[in-house]
Amino acid sequence: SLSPAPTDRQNSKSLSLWAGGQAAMESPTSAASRVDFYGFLDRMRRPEAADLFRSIKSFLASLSLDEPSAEADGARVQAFFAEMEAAIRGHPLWADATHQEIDHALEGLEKYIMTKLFDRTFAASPEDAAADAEVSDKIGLLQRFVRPHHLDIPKVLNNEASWLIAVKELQKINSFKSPWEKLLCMMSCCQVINNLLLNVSMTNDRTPSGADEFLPILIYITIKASFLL
Amino acid sequence: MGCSSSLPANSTGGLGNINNENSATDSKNLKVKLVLLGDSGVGKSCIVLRFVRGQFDPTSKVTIGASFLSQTLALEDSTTVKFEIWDTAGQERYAALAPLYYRGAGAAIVVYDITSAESFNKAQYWVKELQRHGSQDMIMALVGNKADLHEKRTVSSQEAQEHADMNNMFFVETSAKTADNINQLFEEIAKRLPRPTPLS
Repeated sequence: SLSPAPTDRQNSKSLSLWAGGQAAMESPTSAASRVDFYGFLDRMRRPEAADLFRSIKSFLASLSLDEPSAEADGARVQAFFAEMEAAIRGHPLWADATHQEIDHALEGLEKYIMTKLFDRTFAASPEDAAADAEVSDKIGLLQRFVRPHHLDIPKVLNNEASWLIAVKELQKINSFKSPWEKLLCMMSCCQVINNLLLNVSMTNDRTPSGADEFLPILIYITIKASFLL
Repeated sequence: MGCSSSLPANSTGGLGNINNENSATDSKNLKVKLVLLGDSGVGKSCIVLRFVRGQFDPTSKVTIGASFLSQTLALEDSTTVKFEIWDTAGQERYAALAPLYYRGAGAAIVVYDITSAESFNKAQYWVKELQRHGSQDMIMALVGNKADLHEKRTVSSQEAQEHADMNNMFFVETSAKTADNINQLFEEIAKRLPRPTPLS
Protein backbone atom coordinates (compact mmCIF):
# COMPACT_ATOMS: atom_id res chain seq x y z
CA SER A 1 0.00 0.00 0.00
CA LEU A 2 2.96 2.29 -0.47
CA SER A 3 3.87 4.33 -3.40
CA PRO A 4 7.57 4.44 -3.96
CA ALA A 5 9.38 7.45 -2.64
CA PRO A 6 11.48 9.39 -5.08
CA THR A 7 14.54 8.10 -3.35
CA ASP A 8 13.29 4.54 -3.58
CA ARG A 9 13.11 4.96 -7.33
CA GLN A 10 16.74 5.85 -7.35
CA ASN A 11 17.61 2.94 -5.16
CA SER A 12 19.04 5.37 -2.74
CA LYS A 13 20.27 3.01 -0.09
CA SER A 14 20.55 -0.29 -1.81
CA LEU A 15 24.10 0.38 -2.87
CA SER A 16 25.31 1.17 0.56
CA LEU A 17 23.43 -1.82 1.85
CA TRP A 18 25.79 -3.87 -0.21
CA ALA A 19 28.76 -1.73 0.25
CA GLY A 20 29.09 -0.63 3.77
CA GLY A 21 25.85 -1.23 5.56
CA GLN A 22 27.12 -3.17 8.50
CA ALA A 23 24.17 -1.78 10.40
CA ALA A 24 21.91 -3.14 7.72
CA MET A 25 20.20 -5.71 9.86
CA GLU A 26 19.98 -3.46 12.85
CA SER A 27 16.30 -3.24 13.49
CA PRO A 28 15.21 0.35 13.14
CA THR A 29 13.54 0.06 16.51
CA SER A 30 16.62 -1.25 18.27
CA ALA A 31 18.19 0.77 21.05
CA ALA A 32 21.44 1.07 19.14
CA SER A 33 19.76 2.60 16.14
CA ARG A 34 17.80 5.07 18.30
CA VAL A 35 21.00 6.13 20.01
CA ASP A 36 22.65 6.72 16.64
CA PHE A 37 19.83 8.94 15.52
CA TYR A 38 19.71 10.94 18.73
CA GLY A 39 23.48 11.20 18.64
CA PHE A 40 23.14 12.74 15.21
CA LEU A 41 20.45 15.14 16.37
CA ASP A 42 22.53 16.14 19.38
CA ARG A 43 25.49 16.90 17.22
CA MET A 44 23.36 18.92 14.87
CA ARG A 45 22.13 21.04 17.76
CA ARG A 46 25.62 22.05 18.80
CA PRO A 47 26.55 25.64 18.00
CA GLU A 48 29.35 24.43 15.71
CA ALA A 49 26.74 22.70 13.54
CA ALA A 50 24.69 25.84 13.04
CA ASP A 51 25.78 26.13 9.40
CA LEU A 52 24.68 22.57 8.62
CA PHE A 53 21.44 23.05 10.47
CA ARG A 54 20.75 26.22 8.51
CA SER A 55 21.37 24.39 5.23
CA ILE A 56 18.87 21.72 6.21
CA LYS A 57 16.22 24.24 7.21
CA SER A 58 16.67 26.28 4.09
CA PHE A 59 16.60 23.19 1.88
CA LEU A 60 13.34 22.02 3.42
CA ALA A 61 11.88 25.51 3.14
CA SER A 62 12.86 25.89 -0.50
CA LEU A 63 11.45 22.49 -1.38
CA SER A 64 8.16 23.30 0.29
CA LEU A 65 7.66 26.26 -2.03
CA ASP A 66 7.19 23.98 -5.03
CA GLU A 67 4.49 21.49 -5.87
CA PRO A 68 5.51 17.93 -4.99
CA SER A 69 6.99 16.06 -7.92
CA ALA A 70 8.52 12.63 -7.46
CA GLU A 71 11.11 13.13 -10.18
CA ALA A 72 12.18 16.65 -9.35
CA ASP A 73 12.07 16.13 -5.58
CA GLY A 74 14.15 12.98 -5.90
CA ALA A 75 16.85 14.75 -7.83
CA ARG A 76 16.90 17.70 -5.44
CA VAL A 77 17.03 15.50 -2.35
CA GLN A 78 19.86 13.42 -3.79
CA ALA A 79 21.80 16.51 -4.77
CA PHE A 80 21.31 17.90 -1.28
CA PHE A 81 22.53 14.66 0.31
CA ALA A 82 25.65 14.75 -1.83
CA GLU A 83 26.27 18.35 -0.85
CA MET A 84 25.71 17.59 2.83
CA GLU A 85 27.93 14.53 2.72
CA ALA A 86 30.79 16.68 1.50
CA ALA A 87 30.00 19.28 4.15
CA ILE A 88 29.89 16.69 6.94
CA ARG A 89 33.10 15.00 5.84
CA GLY A 90 34.86 18.34 5.86
CA HIS A 91 33.25 19.61 9.04
CA PRO A 92 35.27 20.18 12.25
CA LEU A 93 32.57 18.38 14.27
CA TRP A 94 33.33 15.18 12.37
CA ALA A 95 37.04 15.79 11.99
CA ASP A 96 37.99 12.76 14.10
CA ALA A 97 34.97 10.67 13.17
CA THR A 98 35.31 7.08 12.04
CA HIS A 99 33.82 5.82 8.78
CA GLN A 100 31.01 4.33 10.77
CA GLU A 101 30.22 7.58 12.58
CA ILE A 102 30.05 9.39 9.28
CA ASP A 103 27.79 6.69 7.87
CA HIS A 104 25.55 7.11 10.89
CA ALA A 105 25.48 10.85 10.40
CA LEU A 106 24.44 10.37 6.77
CA GLU A 107 21.79 7.86 7.76
CA GLY A 108 20.61 10.25 10.45
CA LEU A 109 20.43 13.05 7.93
CA GLU A 110 18.45 10.91 5.53
CA LYS A 111 16.08 9.85 8.24
CA TYR A 112 15.56 13.44 9.37
CA ILE A 113 14.99 14.82 5.88
CA MET A 114 12.78 11.99 4.66
CA THR A 115 10.67 12.03 7.81
CA LYS A 116 10.08 15.75 7.25
CA LEU A 117 9.22 15.06 3.62
CA PHE A 118 7.04 12.04 4.29
CA ASP A 119 3.77 13.68 3.33
CA ARG A 120 5.05 14.83 0.00
CA THR A 121 6.84 11.57 -0.72
CA PHE A 122 4.38 8.76 -0.12
CA ALA A 123 1.10 8.74 -2.04
CA ALA A 124 1.55 12.47 -2.53
CA SER A 125 -0.06 12.73 -5.94
CA PRO A 126 -3.55 11.64 -6.94
CA GLU A 127 -1.95 9.30 -9.51
CA ASP A 128 0.11 7.61 -6.81
CA ALA A 129 -2.92 7.30 -4.56
CA ALA A 130 -4.92 5.81 -7.43
CA ALA A 131 -2.12 3.36 -8.26
CA ASP A 132 -1.93 2.36 -4.60
CA ALA A 133 -5.68 1.77 -4.49
CA GLU A 134 -5.48 -0.38 -7.59
CA VAL A 135 -2.66 -2.51 -6.22
CA SER A 136 -4.49 -2.77 -2.92
CA ASP A 137 -7.62 -4.07 -4.68
CA LYS A 138 -5.63 -6.72 -6.51
CA ILE A 139 -3.80 -7.81 -3.39
CA GLY A 140 -7.15 -7.98 -1.60
CA LEU A 141 -8.37 -10.49 -4.16
CA LEU A 142 -5.15 -12.47 -3.94
CA GLN A 143 -5.13 -12.52 -0.16
CA ARG A 144 -8.28 -14.59 -0.09
CA PHE A 145 -7.34 -16.78 -2.97
CA VAL A 146 -3.64 -17.50 -3.10
CA ARG A 147 -2.20 -20.68 -1.64
CA PRO A 148 1.48 -21.60 -1.40
CA HIS A 149 1.24 -24.13 -4.21
CA HIS A 150 0.03 -21.44 -6.63
CA LEU A 151 3.43 -19.87 -6.29
CA ASP A 152 5.46 -23.09 -6.65
CA ILE A 153 6.41 -23.13 -2.98
CA PRO A 154 7.54 -26.67 -2.14
CA LYS A 155 5.58 -28.30 0.69
CA VAL A 156 8.71 -28.82 2.75
CA LEU A 157 8.99 -25.04 3.08
CA ASN A 158 5.47 -24.52 4.40
CA ASN A 159 5.97 -23.20 7.88
CA GLU A 160 3.12 -21.06 9.18
CA ALA A 161 4.95 -19.99 12.34
CA SER A 162 7.99 -18.77 10.52
CA TRP A 163 5.90 -17.12 7.79
CA LEU A 164 3.90 -15.26 10.42
CA ILE A 165 7.09 -13.78 11.85
CA ALA A 166 8.14 -12.68 8.38
CA VAL A 167 4.71 -11.10 7.86
CA LYS A 168 5.01 -9.19 11.16
CA GLU A 169 8.47 -7.93 10.27
CA LEU A 170 7.24 -6.64 6.94
CA GLN A 171 4.18 -5.02 8.46
CA LYS A 172 6.43 -2.84 10.61
CA ILE A 173 7.21 -0.97 7.43
CA ASN A 174 4.17 1.21 7.99
CA SER A 175 5.42 2.50 11.32
CA PHE A 176 8.49 4.10 9.75
CA LYS A 177 8.70 7.14 7.59
CA SER A 178 12.17 7.15 6.13
CA PRO A 179 13.12 4.91 3.19
CA TRP A 180 16.16 3.59 5.06
CA GLU A 181 14.05 2.32 7.95
CA LYS A 182 11.48 0.90 5.59
CA LEU A 183 14.24 -0.92 3.78
CA LEU A 184 15.43 -2.38 7.08
CA CYS A 185 11.96 -3.82 7.67
CA MET A 186 12.13 -5.52 4.27
CA MET A 187 15.58 -6.83 5.12
CA SER A 188 14.38 -8.27 8.43
CA CYS A 189 11.52 -10.00 6.65
CA CYS A 190 13.95 -11.46 4.10
CA GLN A 191 16.21 -12.60 6.88
CA VAL A 192 13.39 -14.55 8.51
CA ILE A 193 12.62 -16.27 5.21
CA ASN A 194 16.27 -16.98 4.71
CA ASN A 195 16.62 -18.51 8.15
CA LEU A 196 13.73 -20.79 7.34
CA LEU A 197 15.36 -21.88 4.07
CA LEU A 198 18.62 -22.43 5.87
CA ASN A 199 17.05 -24.52 8.62
CA VAL A 200 15.12 -26.64 6.15
CA SER A 201 18.22 -27.25 4.05
CA MET A 202 20.25 -28.24 7.08
CA THR A 203 17.58 -30.49 8.57
CA ASN A 204 16.89 -32.25 5.31
CA ASP A 205 20.42 -32.24 4.01
CA ARG A 206 19.33 -30.33 0.94
CA THR A 207 21.42 -27.87 -1.01
CA PRO A 208 20.89 -24.37 0.33
CA SER A 209 18.36 -22.88 -1.98
CA GLY A 210 18.57 -19.68 -3.89
CA ALA A 211 16.00 -17.45 -5.51
CA ASP A 212 14.00 -20.44 -6.83
CA GLU A 213 12.68 -20.90 -3.32
CA PHE A 214 13.26 -17.51 -1.77
CA LEU A 215 11.30 -15.38 -4.21
CA PRO A 216 8.02 -17.33 -4.15
CA ILE A 217 7.95 -17.16 -0.36
CA LEU A 218 8.74 -13.45 -0.36
CA ILE A 219 5.85 -12.86 -2.77
CA TYR A 220 3.51 -14.94 -0.64
CA ILE A 221 4.55 -13.07 2.52
CA THR A 222 4.12 -9.72 0.81
CA ILE A 223 0.59 -10.59 -0.24
CA LYS A 224 -0.28 -11.79 3.26
CA ALA A 225 1.31 -8.81 4.97
CA SER A 226 -0.53 -6.15 3.02
CA PHE A 227 -3.01 -3.97 4.86
CA LEU A 228 -5.74 -3.07 2.45
CA LEU A 229 -6.64 0.53 1.84
CA MET B 1 32.15 -12.34 9.51
CA GLY B 2 30.30 -11.26 6.41
CA CYS B 3 31.24 -11.91 2.84
CA SER B 4 32.65 -8.49 2.42
CA SER B 5 33.99 -7.68 5.84
CA SER B 6 37.44 -9.11 5.35
CA LEU B 7 37.98 -7.21 2.17
CA PRO B 8 39.76 -3.95 1.61
CA ALA B 9 37.26 -1.28 2.43
CA ASN B 10 36.04 0.59 -0.56
CA SER B 11 35.20 4.16 0.09
CA THR B 12 31.62 3.16 -0.42
CA GLY B 13 28.65 3.31 1.82
CA GLY B 14 28.12 7.03 1.83
CA LEU B 15 25.17 8.77 0.34
CA GLY B 16 27.44 10.20 -2.30
CA ASN B 17 27.52 6.85 -4.02
CA ILE B 18 23.85 6.84 -4.70
CA ASN B 19 24.14 7.59 -8.35
CA ASN B 20 27.07 5.33 -9.01
CA GLU B 21 26.57 2.93 -11.82
CA ASN B 22 27.37 -0.69 -11.34
CA SER B 23 30.98 -0.60 -12.23
CA ALA B 24 33.11 1.35 -9.89
CA THR B 25 35.23 4.22 -11.05
CA ASP B 26 38.38 3.24 -9.20
CA SER B 27 40.54 1.46 -11.76
CA LYS B 28 42.01 -0.94 -9.19
CA ASN B 29 38.79 -1.84 -7.39
CA LEU B 30 35.98 -2.74 -9.71
CA LYS B 31 32.45 -3.47 -8.71
CA VAL B 32 29.92 -5.25 -10.85
CA LYS B 33 26.37 -6.47 -10.61
CA LEU B 34 26.14 -10.03 -11.82
CA VAL B 35 22.87 -11.82 -12.48
CA LEU B 36 22.30 -15.57 -12.71
CA LEU B 37 19.66 -16.89 -15.06
CA GLY B 38 18.57 -20.42 -15.86
CA ASP B 39 15.91 -23.02 -15.26
CA SER B 40 15.13 -23.96 -11.69
CA GLY B 41 17.17 -26.89 -10.48
CA VAL B 42 20.18 -26.36 -12.73
CA GLY B 43 22.29 -25.35 -9.76
CA LYS B 44 22.51 -21.56 -10.06
CA SER B 45 22.70 -21.02 -6.34
CA CYS B 46 25.13 -23.91 -5.87
CA ILE B 47 27.54 -22.27 -8.27
CA VAL B 48 27.42 -19.07 -6.27
CA LEU B 49 27.72 -20.83 -2.95
CA ARG B 50 30.75 -22.70 -4.25
CA PHE B 51 32.29 -19.46 -5.37
CA VAL B 52 31.86 -17.72 -2.05
CA ARG B 53 32.43 -20.75 0.15
CA GLY B 54 34.91 -20.14 2.88
CA GLN B 55 33.70 -16.64 3.31
CA PHE B 56 30.05 -17.46 3.06
CA ASP B 57 28.28 -16.75 6.26
CA PRO B 58 24.57 -17.21 5.84
CA THR B 59 23.84 -15.03 8.85
CA SER B 60 25.85 -12.20 7.37
CA LYS B 61 24.23 -8.82 7.49
CA VAL B 62 24.89 -8.05 3.88
CA THR B 63 23.50 -11.18 2.33
CA ILE B 64 20.05 -12.54 1.95
CA GLY B 65 20.87 -16.20 1.90
CA ALA B 66 21.87 -17.55 -1.44
CA SER B 67 19.70 -15.10 -3.34
CA PHE B 68 21.87 -12.04 -2.86
CA LEU B 69 25.55 -12.39 -2.17
CA SER B 70 28.66 -10.42 -2.66
CA GLN B 71 32.18 -11.66 -3.10
CA THR B 72 35.43 -10.01 -4.02
CA LEU B 73 37.99 -11.59 -6.27
CA ALA B 74 41.62 -10.52 -6.37
CA LEU B 75 43.23 -10.81 -9.79
CA GLU B 76 46.89 -11.33 -10.56
CA ASP B 77 47.30 -7.78 -11.79
CA SER B 78 46.33 -6.69 -8.26
CA THR B 79 42.93 -5.38 -9.24
CA THR B 80 39.99 -6.53 -7.19
CA VAL B 81 36.53 -7.15 -8.51
CA LYS B 82 33.61 -7.09 -6.17
CA PHE B 83 30.71 -9.13 -7.49
CA GLU B 84 27.22 -8.30 -6.32
CA ILE B 85 25.47 -11.49 -7.24
CA TRP B 86 21.75 -11.66 -7.85
CA ASP B 87 20.15 -15.04 -8.20
CA THR B 88 16.81 -15.25 -10.01
CA ALA B 89 13.90 -17.64 -9.69
CA GLY B 90 14.08 -20.03 -12.62
CA GLN B 91 10.47 -21.15 -12.73
CA GLU B 92 8.55 -20.30 -15.87
CA ARG B 93 5.99 -18.24 -13.98
CA TYR B 94 8.63 -15.82 -12.73
CA ALA B 95 10.27 -15.21 -16.09
CA ALA B 96 8.56 -11.83 -16.40
CA LEU B 97 10.47 -10.58 -13.36
CA ALA B 98 13.90 -11.20 -14.86
CA PRO B 99 14.31 -7.72 -16.38
CA LEU B 100 14.14 -6.27 -12.87
CA TYR B 101 17.23 -8.29 -12.09
CA TYR B 102 19.35 -7.90 -15.19
CA ARG B 103 18.70 -4.18 -15.53
CA GLY B 104 22.01 -2.48 -14.86
CA ALA B 105 23.92 -5.75 -14.63
CA GLY B 106 27.47 -5.70 -15.97
CA ALA B 107 27.65 -9.47 -16.21
CA ALA B 108 25.26 -12.36 -16.63
CA ILE B 109 25.72 -16.08 -16.18
CA VAL B 110 23.23 -18.25 -18.03
CA VAL B 111 23.22 -21.71 -16.51
CA TYR B 112 21.91 -25.03 -17.80
CA ASP B 113 22.30 -28.60 -16.68
CA ILE B 114 24.34 -30.78 -19.09
CA THR B 115 22.00 -33.71 -18.36
CA SER B 116 18.88 -31.76 -19.33
CA ALA B 117 18.23 -30.72 -22.91
CA GLU B 118 15.21 -28.81 -21.71
CA SER B 119 17.35 -26.64 -19.46
CA PHE B 120 19.62 -25.95 -22.45
CA ASN B 121 16.57 -24.78 -24.42
CA LYS B 122 15.73 -22.52 -21.54
CA ALA B 123 19.28 -21.20 -21.51
CA GLN B 124 18.97 -20.31 -25.19
CA TYR B 125 15.80 -18.43 -24.38
CA TRP B 126 17.64 -16.40 -21.73
CA VAL B 127 20.52 -15.68 -24.09
CA LYS B 128 18.07 -14.35 -26.64
CA GLU B 129 16.33 -12.28 -24.02
CA LEU B 130 19.61 -10.76 -22.84
CA GLN B 131 20.69 -10.03 -26.41
CA ARG B 132 17.43 -8.20 -26.97
CA HIS B 133 16.98 -6.36 -23.71
CA GLY B 134 20.20 -6.49 -21.77
CA SER B 135 22.82 -3.80 -21.76
CA GLN B 136 25.07 -3.79 -24.85
CA ASP B 137 28.34 -4.20 -23.03
CA MET B 138 27.17 -6.88 -20.60
CA ILE B 139 29.68 -9.72 -20.18
CA MET B 140 27.82 -12.97 -20.72
CA ALA B 141 28.80 -16.50 -19.85
CA LEU B 142 27.09 -19.71 -20.84
CA VAL B 143 27.61 -22.35 -18.19
CA GLY B 144 26.88 -26.06 -18.39
CA ASN B 145 26.63 -27.19 -14.81
CA LYS B 146 26.67 -30.68 -13.30
CA ALA B 147 29.68 -31.64 -15.43
CA ASP B 148 30.38 -34.40 -12.90
CA LEU B 149 27.34 -36.25 -14.26
CA HIS B 150 28.95 -36.72 -17.68
CA GLU B 151 27.62 -40.24 -18.10
CA LYS B 152 24.12 -38.76 -18.17
CA ARG B 153 25.04 -35.97 -20.52
CA THR B 154 22.43 -34.97 -23.11
CA VAL B 155 23.87 -31.61 -24.17
CA SER B 156 27.16 -31.84 -26.01
CA SER B 157 29.96 -29.43 -25.21
CA GLN B 158 30.37 -28.69 -28.88
CA GLU B 159 26.77 -27.67 -29.35
CA ALA B 160 26.95 -25.36 -26.35
CA GLN B 161 30.29 -23.93 -27.42
CA GLU B 162 28.85 -23.10 -30.84
CA HIS B 163 25.87 -21.43 -29.30
CA ALA B 164 28.14 -19.38 -27.06
CA ASP B 165 30.40 -18.36 -29.97
CA MET B 166 27.42 -17.30 -32.02
CA ASN B 167 26.27 -15.04 -29.23
CA ASN B 168 29.60 -13.59 -28.29
CA MET B 169 29.64 -15.34 -24.93
CA PHE B 170 32.25 -17.47 -23.32
CA PHE B 171 31.42 -21.01 -22.44
CA VAL B 172 32.52 -23.26 -19.63
CA GLU B 173 31.30 -26.45 -18.04
CA THR B 174 31.30 -26.47 -14.26
CA SER B 175 30.55 -28.76 -11.41
CA ALA B 176 29.33 -27.00 -8.32
CA LYS B 177 29.64 -30.37 -6.65
CA THR B 178 33.35 -30.83 -7.24
CA ALA B 179 34.08 -27.11 -7.64
CA ASP B 180 35.48 -27.72 -11.13
CA ASN B 181 35.88 -24.49 -13.09
CA ILE B 182 33.90 -22.43 -10.60
CA ASN B 183 36.68 -20.00 -9.78
CA GLN B 184 37.80 -19.95 -13.39
CA LEU B 185 34.30 -18.89 -14.39
CA PHE B 186 34.32 -15.84 -12.14
CA GLU B 187 37.93 -15.02 -12.93
CA GLU B 188 37.19 -15.03 -16.62
CA ILE B 189 34.26 -12.68 -16.10
CA ALA B 190 36.44 -10.43 -13.97
CA LYS B 191 39.13 -10.30 -16.65
CA ARG B 192 36.65 -9.42 -19.34
CA LEU B 193 35.05 -6.54 -17.49
CA PRO B 194 35.72 -3.19 -19.06
CA ARG B 195 38.36 -1.23 -17.12
CA PRO B 196 37.53 2.36 -16.44
CA THR B 197 39.83 4.62 -18.42
CA PRO B 198 42.24 6.26 -16.01
CA LEU B 199 41.91 9.98 -15.49
CA SER B 200 44.53 12.45 -16.72
